Amino acid sequence: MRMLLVIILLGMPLVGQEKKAAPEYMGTAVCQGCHEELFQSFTKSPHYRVETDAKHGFAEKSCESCHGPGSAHAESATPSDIRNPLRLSAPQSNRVCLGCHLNQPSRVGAIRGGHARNQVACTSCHSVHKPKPRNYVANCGTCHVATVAQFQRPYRHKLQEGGIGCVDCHNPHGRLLTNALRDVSSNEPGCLRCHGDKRGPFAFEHAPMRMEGCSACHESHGSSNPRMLTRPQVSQQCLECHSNLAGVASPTTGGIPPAFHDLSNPRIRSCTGCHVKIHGSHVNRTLLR
Amino acid sequence: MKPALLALLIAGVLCAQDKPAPEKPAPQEAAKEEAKTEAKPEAKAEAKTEAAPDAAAIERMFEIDLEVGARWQQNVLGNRDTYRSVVNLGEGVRVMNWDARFHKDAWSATSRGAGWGGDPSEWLNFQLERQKYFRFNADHRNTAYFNSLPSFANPLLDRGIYASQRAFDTHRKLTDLQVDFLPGAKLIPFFGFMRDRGFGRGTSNFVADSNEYPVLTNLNDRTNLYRGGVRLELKRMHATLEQGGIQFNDDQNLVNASRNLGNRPIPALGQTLFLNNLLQAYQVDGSSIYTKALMTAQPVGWLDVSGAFQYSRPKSDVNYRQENDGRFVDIDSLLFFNTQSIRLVSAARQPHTTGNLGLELRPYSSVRLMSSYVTDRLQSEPTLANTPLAERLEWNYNQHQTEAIVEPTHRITLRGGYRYVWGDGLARSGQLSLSPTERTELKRHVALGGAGFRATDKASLNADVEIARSDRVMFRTSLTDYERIRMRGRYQLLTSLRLYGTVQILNNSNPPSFNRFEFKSHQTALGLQWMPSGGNTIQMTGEYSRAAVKSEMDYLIPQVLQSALSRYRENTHTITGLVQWRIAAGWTWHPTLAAGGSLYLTSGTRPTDYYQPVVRLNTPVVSHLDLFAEYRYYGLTQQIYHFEGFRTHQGAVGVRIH
Repeated sequence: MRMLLVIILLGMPLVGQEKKAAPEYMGTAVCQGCHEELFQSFTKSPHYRVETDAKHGFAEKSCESCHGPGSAHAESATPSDIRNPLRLSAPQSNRVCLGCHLNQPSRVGAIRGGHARNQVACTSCHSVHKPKPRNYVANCGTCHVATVAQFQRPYRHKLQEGGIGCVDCHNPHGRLLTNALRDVSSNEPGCLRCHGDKRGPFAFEHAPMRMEGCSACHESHGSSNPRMLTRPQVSQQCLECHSNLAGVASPTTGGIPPAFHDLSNPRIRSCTGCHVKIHGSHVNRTLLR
Repeated sequence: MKPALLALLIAGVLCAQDKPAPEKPAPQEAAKEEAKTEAKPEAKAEAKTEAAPDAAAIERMFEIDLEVGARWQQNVLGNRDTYRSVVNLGEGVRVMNWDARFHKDAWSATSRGAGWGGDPSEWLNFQLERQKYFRFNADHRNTAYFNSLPSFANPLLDRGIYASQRAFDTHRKLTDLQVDFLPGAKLIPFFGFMRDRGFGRGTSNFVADSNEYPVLTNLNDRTNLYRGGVRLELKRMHATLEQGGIQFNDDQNLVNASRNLGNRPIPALGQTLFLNNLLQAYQVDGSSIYTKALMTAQPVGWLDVSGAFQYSRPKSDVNYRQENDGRFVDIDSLLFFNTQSIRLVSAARQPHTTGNLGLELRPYSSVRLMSSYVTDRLQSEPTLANTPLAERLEWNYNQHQTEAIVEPTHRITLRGGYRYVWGDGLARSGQLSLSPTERTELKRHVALGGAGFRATDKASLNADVEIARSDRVMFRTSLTDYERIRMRGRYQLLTSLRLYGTVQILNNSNPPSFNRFEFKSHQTALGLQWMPSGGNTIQMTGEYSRAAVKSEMDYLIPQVLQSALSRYRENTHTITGLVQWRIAAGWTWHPTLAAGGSLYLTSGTRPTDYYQPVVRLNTPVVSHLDLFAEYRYYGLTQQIYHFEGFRTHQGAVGVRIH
């Protein structure tokens, strides 16, 4: 009996204490109380529309749309009491963003995109609280260091000058084909956005243009070879394809030499000197005009 | 004793509990109350009445960063055409760059741009948005494209003539506009327009039997793209339907009005060939309609689905006109003639279908299974008088990939999968082929693997491996049996010091039944960012990249049909860096000195050195106004084509308003 009484009495304080309540939403005004500077920059962010738009269900509590209910944090002011997407693993962090951005058109193909596979979180590139200046070299270059180095070559796309940006050619959110290359209009290669004169369709196509794309002959970031070609001499570039050898069991297209050209003659050595319509011709089978 | 013990225990329990403080609300309530008071509109209105919009409020509304300056340049030493082909920066007053933002209530606008006033890469972006009503985006670029390299496409180089026969001095203007209505709503209609125009002059060859004549070419092409559609944004599914059309025109022509002996130094069959007058005109009218449908959905929490269907039907109609007089020969008939007139009409259609479907399943929180299928199909159907169907081009490409990603711990990620790529194509044969067409196939099996390791929040390493084996490939230069390894890592060594790097290796070796093609490339790059004391005084970034390409391929020398080896070597060192020093942080004004640039050195088949150092001094004058001075040097050296080198010094001064 005594023991029972002691147990009951000792248990009273535990019963008397409230069960720890689940965190509640506090509203943006509470967050602003401590994070004024952050709030001010956030008001200039596109994400601020979550604060004013009821569509997403977080009107007047936009901070907590990403950080989760903040009552515990408001009470303790301890960072560990609130969700910080920067501290989460990439898939967990991305889930937070994809709660709203799941199905943006640019994300079609994300499932196979390199960034998704390599656990690159949305926050690795995007500044959620305030807009970031457009600086591809700083943004993309910290991971793609070798690619930035390619843009230091003499014959290159003008990335540093601002004439072109990484996202003009690549969709960082992914595409199902390789290198996350972007399309133009519908399913034309992204290169045609600026190089529209190569669009065609041509009555006489140069097959690699359609089958392997521009990178069959060109280094798209930069090259030490003129016209960003993969080889310094045009004849070398052409002959590596147009010269199937006898006895090769697995022939490839275009390999049969087109003619008995005398390459010892400098006039002939420059293939595009005659085959001026190398990307495709509307009127000539051998791409001469 | 018992009652005393009982009283003691009860008293202890009561004392152990905090006494409630009725005069003070709970912290959460207090915060809410405080916030409500602060957020009361009346209170805000009062504050506004008391003080008119002050400088801080305006600063919050507007943000601007504008640089305007003047550049001058020492005369280019060396080859000016190469300088223009590579750098092409000129003298004069420029709006170097700007970034301006406006934000008030539901309205926001941003404008950014650079290079205006004559630089080769002028660009401008403008965005205007009113929340819930519309979002407008305009992008405009004006790119000057000059390319005239004496060593490129110059058959007369051996004769000491430094003039490319494939040269361009053109401009390309690209304008892209899009407006979205009702952003944030479930149904978002959008319209877009893009105009791409290229124009200018150049040199190209008019090709006749036994001689080619470098002549003036006028280039003028225009593309107008119209598109519109609707986006559906539901909670678990988003979809986009877009319909668009393209109008394309190309009016290139080649002209010549004086005696032109062309590239042939010796008579043909005893007669000198020459061109007097030429008009070679292409009138290309193209158009395309396209349909695009995109969808992503998360029907249940553990499943993502995405898919796309794209269909386009481009076509082109061409009127070709050629009139030339001079002295020409027809090699097939061995007849000479003086005038020639050709009219040709051609047309081409190219239906093109692309589709893809992807799934991601998450049966457990640490397991992701991903599968995707892609197909890309096109066929080109030309029609030209007297042209057989042999010119038809077909291309069918398919790719299926399955991959699993497992996270055994929250610091380790493992990936593994398989990709199968297959397809076939039809293309016309070369002139020496016995068959009018060639059919080709693609069959490639790729094993995929990878791992990610996040040792701490400060260090991570990611590796990807692809091992491919092909039964068939499309072209001789296609990779057949290859291994590709990519590694990326970063390490926050100190709060102020961050290291990062990448390694990429690609090895291709064709099996004996294929033509010999050995291709090896590797790239290693290391970088660091150092910002002691939060970068208040010094900031430094530096990167070093080492790349090597080794390619060997057997090929056939056409004139003798003998086998030879095509070798290509490239050994590259690239260093880029920038040090920023905020001088005399204790002073009342803080000039900033920045120095850096890039250095590119390559040896091998085409040894080239290219230097781009830069030094910049930025001095604040008054609040929001700085003066800057900048020095740049550009130097290109090529050991084989030494006549293509150049070097020049540039200076610039200007003001920065921010």
